[in-house]
Amino acid sequence: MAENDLAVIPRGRDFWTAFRRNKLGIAGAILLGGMILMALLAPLVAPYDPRQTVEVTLEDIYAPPSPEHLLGTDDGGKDVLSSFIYGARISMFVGFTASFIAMGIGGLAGLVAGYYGGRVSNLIMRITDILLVIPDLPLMVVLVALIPRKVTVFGARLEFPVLAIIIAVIGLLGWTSTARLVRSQVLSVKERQFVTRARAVGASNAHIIRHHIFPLVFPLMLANTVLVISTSILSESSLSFLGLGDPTAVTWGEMLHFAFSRGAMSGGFWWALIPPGIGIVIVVFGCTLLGNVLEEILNPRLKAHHLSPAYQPRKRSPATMPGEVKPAPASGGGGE
Amino acid sequence: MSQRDYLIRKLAWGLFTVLFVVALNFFLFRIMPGDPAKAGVKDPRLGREQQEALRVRFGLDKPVFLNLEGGNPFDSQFFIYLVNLARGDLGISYKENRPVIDILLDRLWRTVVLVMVAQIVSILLGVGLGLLAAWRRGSSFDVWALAFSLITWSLPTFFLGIIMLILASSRMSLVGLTRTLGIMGGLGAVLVVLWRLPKVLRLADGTLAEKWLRLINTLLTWGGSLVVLYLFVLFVVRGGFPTGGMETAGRTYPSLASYLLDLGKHMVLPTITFGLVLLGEYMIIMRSSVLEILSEDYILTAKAKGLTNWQILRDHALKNAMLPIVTLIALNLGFTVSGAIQLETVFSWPGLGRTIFDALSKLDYPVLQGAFLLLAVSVILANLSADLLYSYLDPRIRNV
Repeated sequence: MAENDLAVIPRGRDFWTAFRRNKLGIAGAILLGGMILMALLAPLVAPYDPRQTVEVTLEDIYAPPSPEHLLGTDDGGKDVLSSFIYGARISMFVGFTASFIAMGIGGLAGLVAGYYGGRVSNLIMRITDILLVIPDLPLMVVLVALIPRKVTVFGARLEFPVLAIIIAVIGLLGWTSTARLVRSQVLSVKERQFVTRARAVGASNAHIIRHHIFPLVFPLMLANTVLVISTSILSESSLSFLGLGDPTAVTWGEMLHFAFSRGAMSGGFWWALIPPGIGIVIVVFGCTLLGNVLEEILNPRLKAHHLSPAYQPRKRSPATMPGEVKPAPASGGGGE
Repeated sequence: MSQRDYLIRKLAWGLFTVLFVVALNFFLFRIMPGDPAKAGVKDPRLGREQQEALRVRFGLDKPVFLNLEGGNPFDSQFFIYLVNLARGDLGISYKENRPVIDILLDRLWRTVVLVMVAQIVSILLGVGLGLLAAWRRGSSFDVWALAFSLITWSLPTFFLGIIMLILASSRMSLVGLTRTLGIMGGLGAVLVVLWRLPKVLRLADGTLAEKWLRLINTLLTWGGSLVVLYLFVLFVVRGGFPTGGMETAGRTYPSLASYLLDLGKHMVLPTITFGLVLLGEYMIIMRSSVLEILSEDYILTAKAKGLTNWQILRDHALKNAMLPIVTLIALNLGFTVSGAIQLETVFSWPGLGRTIFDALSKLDYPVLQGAFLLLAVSVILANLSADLLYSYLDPRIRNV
């Protein structure tokens, strides 16, 4: 394996240059960043507080969009726009937290499987195979429905909020893609010369993992986590829509659940149904764009793949000496 | 390793996975504190003896895993469960008092029908459109195809279903529809022109006439897609398609043809919804696999030999490009099942997915357990057969 193929993961300024070149990535970042900003600034931006109790009359229920309620009201007479803005908070919180859990488990599993290989790797990969084959939404539905809220442990009564259970379930089932990715990366990094040299000098396994392998693997893990965020948000909204979420939490899935099961469809009250869905689409769309672009930039191997729209033949390659002619890429960008 | 060893290995692993899911299914529903299995008999209206009798009837008085009280050690809930499973007995529904297997079999084919039709349609369309997008890489069509796939992937299945329902149940007239869509389309066209115009005009090569031609080409592609969108929305809104259920309630069918017609009308909306979601995925995978193949050397050789584009496609590219599609179909089966749950809930389709949903709300645990088992095992078996099929189609992996 040539030393030159350690295509360095762009750091710092190189990264931003590469990132700025990709318009799709910027679009994704803007969409995602906009939503995060909106969620953080919710109390300032939203016209009403959806958790405040309101006294409503019949006219206030499912009222169409008006100057007081820009997106109308929902089944409880609450302003849809405010629910939408506040809903971003918990929806994205659940998505982010669940995918961090998945990143943690998957990263650990991938590192161990890739580095130690052999039986351990086999076992971990078998577990991921099983998890991949079992259909995810039915399993999540069953788990979330059956895990008890109240548990007595050693005489102490613990109560788990529904959101915690949902986050845990999504995280526990969503680590497989990260694990596979990390494992294949570790496998490719493990055989590089600097690792062999470190081992020859007497570095312990822990040291090698922490100082050599992990820094190369982590950026890609992060890119993969962004993609996992999008699937986590989709899962949470599906679970809430099916009625398994926390009815007191304002999330986009819950908004859809209430609107759907309380007659918004038959009444044609589209303003209660469309905004939360659009919110989900924007966040997932942004995460997907961003995640794909990050994966391209941060993956040393994928960088040369001719399918990537970001593929640009490098103007200066460390492998070419001055005076050498760089081989021209074949049609379509050329294979490796 | 020979092909036979590979097959045996795959089969053994598949069998193990099935057994694992069978055991998981059991423990999931019994070991959970709060014991869902006992929940069905805890009706407070029943007297003590009746509760006891129900418990004995459902076998809930036996120990869960191993019977250590002398006699037969296998007289426990787990082994009774396994034996019953082997006999095809999935228990009796708490709420409907019918054998679970009857309920499930009745619902299974309805899901299969819906899902199969959607899969077939979206595979055919996805393969075709993906191929076209790859062939015209970088063109407006390609960009449109990518955008479309990304958007449908980001849409939750149930939300797309809700949109379809809103469209189908809105009573917009033709004129109103045309006006609304015309405004939206006009805005979109303006945006597209503003976006593409600088790039199209900045390209240094070509005369002014060529630049105009490129601009017109862009406009036509986007305009064409707008027209398609308009016709599609028109179809859904004015088509008079039923928004729920599988059959018109209370109707009798004098002939098979009339039943099929009614069934077909009910199937249109859910199939379109599911088809759109799947279409995006298939299109993207087909596109990237065709792109990868088109850059291979043997394609260049074929072209140098003088084969026409169509011949190259037909004899070399298509066969190889279809391989990832086979894998994707298998991988998608799990996703299909998840989508089916959402779809059937939104469209009130009486299939397996909605059975799970209903059993959940009615706390009918035997049905829930049986349905989950059925779903998981069928996905595993389908994945297994897809694996085997793939190894038959692609000789390269047999010798792994």
